[in-house]
Amino acid sequence: MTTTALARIAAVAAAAAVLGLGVPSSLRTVPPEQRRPAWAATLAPLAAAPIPSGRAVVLVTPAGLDAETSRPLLYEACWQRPDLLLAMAPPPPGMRVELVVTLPGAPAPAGFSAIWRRDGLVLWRRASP
Amino acid sequence: MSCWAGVVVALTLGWGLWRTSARFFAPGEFLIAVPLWGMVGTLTWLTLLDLLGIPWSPGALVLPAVAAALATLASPRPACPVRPTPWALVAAGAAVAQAALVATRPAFGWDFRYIWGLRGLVFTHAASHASQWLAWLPNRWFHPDYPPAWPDLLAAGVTLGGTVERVAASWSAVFVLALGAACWRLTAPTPPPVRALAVVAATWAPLLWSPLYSGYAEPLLAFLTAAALVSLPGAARGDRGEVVSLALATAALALTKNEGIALAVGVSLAVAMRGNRRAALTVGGAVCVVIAAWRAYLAVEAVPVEPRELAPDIALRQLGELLQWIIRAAPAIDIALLTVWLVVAALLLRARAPALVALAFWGVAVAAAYLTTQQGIAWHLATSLDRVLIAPLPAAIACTLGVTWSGDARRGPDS
Repeated sequence: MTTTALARIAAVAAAAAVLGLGVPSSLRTVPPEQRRPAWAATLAPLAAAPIPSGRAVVLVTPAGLDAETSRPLLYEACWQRPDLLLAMAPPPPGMRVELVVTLPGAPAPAGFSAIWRRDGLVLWRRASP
Repeated sequence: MSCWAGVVVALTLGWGLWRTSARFFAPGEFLIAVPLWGMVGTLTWLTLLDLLGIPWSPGALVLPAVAAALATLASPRPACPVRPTPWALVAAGAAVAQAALVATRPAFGWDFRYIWGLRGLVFTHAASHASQWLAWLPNRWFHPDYPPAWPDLLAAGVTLGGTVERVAASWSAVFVLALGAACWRLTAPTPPPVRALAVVAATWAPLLWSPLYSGYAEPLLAFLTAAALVSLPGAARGDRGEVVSLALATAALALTKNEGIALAVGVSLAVAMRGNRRAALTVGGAVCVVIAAWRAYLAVEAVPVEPRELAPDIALRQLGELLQWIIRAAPAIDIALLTVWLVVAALLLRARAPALVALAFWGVAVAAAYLTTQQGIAWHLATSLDRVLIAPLPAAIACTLGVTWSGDARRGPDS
């Protein structure tokens, strides 16, 4: 067998391998409940929160969650409200916090008053001095 | 149907530009050139609107497509050499089946929801590139420095009335067909069954079309890589139409993920090494302009950029971790893809194929990116290596089939 023939067989084998891996990958089915993150339902009401576009908002997650666990909650909050500038508590240095959203189980922020709530989500505004 | 509005408008723009360009040079094959021109035209138009301070709106987005369609009335009709043969029909059938599958699945993958699709939504709401959102420090987790081509296309589709999940699905279906057409061309002039195999392998490649990765940028990257490699030999010979097509494809690559930048630079190097200075300057210039423009935008708007660890001793330590991870922890799919890449690289090297330089540069750049990551190399590999490996693989396999089955191994796609 010539090297050219071997090369051709190797090239066809590479293509066949990719095809063999690809068919099950393409036909894989994912149940509808796995297409949305588990925490999407928790944050879905945020889409209706009366917050003007472009505002900076701090998100307070339930006490005891570490950064790795709570970060996806920020991701989802951004997906629900891509028009806002969201940050996890504690807020970045220099940010004056006027609006806070607390998730179910999160502590109420001191010095803020609740102005909207739905399904456990609460929107807080800094109380007037 | 509104989820297709963005695609239809972009392809109409591409069709108009493709027809108009035929007045000046041979504009390339319809199925490759129209999506390429359409995407580049859309990205250019969105950037222009942003620079002029004009918000992205349905009217503003439709305008260039209408103008381009009207311009076709005064343009010659380019040759459209469609020669249906049984093997071409097999290839087309496989591509259409995958496109239909992809089109019916609204995107939901993690990186789609929290990187690409999210940025598409952000750009739509801001009716611009949303510099304030990109520069917002807490948003550094969303990789705001990633190039904007895919979110721009998504934003255009959402602005025209689609949901971002369905717009992503619609575009992905277009990428299936365009990638298939590019791989058909890449394998010329080999026997038709070999060409069909290249198309079927590309349009049914693993991960690219998996629902778990739906809405990711890799299908766009795969198509643009194939489109660039199609034009590479002709551009190196100085064919004006191929030089323009290659400049468009590489410019779009440089705006599609950081791996796209590596591929674009690699293709530019490949043209330069073929000795055609004018083509190399045109292609390299296009790549440099878009990279410089995006980097300048990031710097001016103070957008956080992913940090890199450039100390050689750390890179050396991470090289050890990389090898250990591949030996001990890599999933089977990564091992399989690495094996296929080894075969493909050996065959391209044996044939001294023009694509080898481009793909070799990409490989070195990807390795460098992993070795300089600050995110933990094991985590970085586990969350990205499979997708990084698969994006240029369909085009590389088509090239490999082309050079091993054609009579002259050094000949590129000509027909």
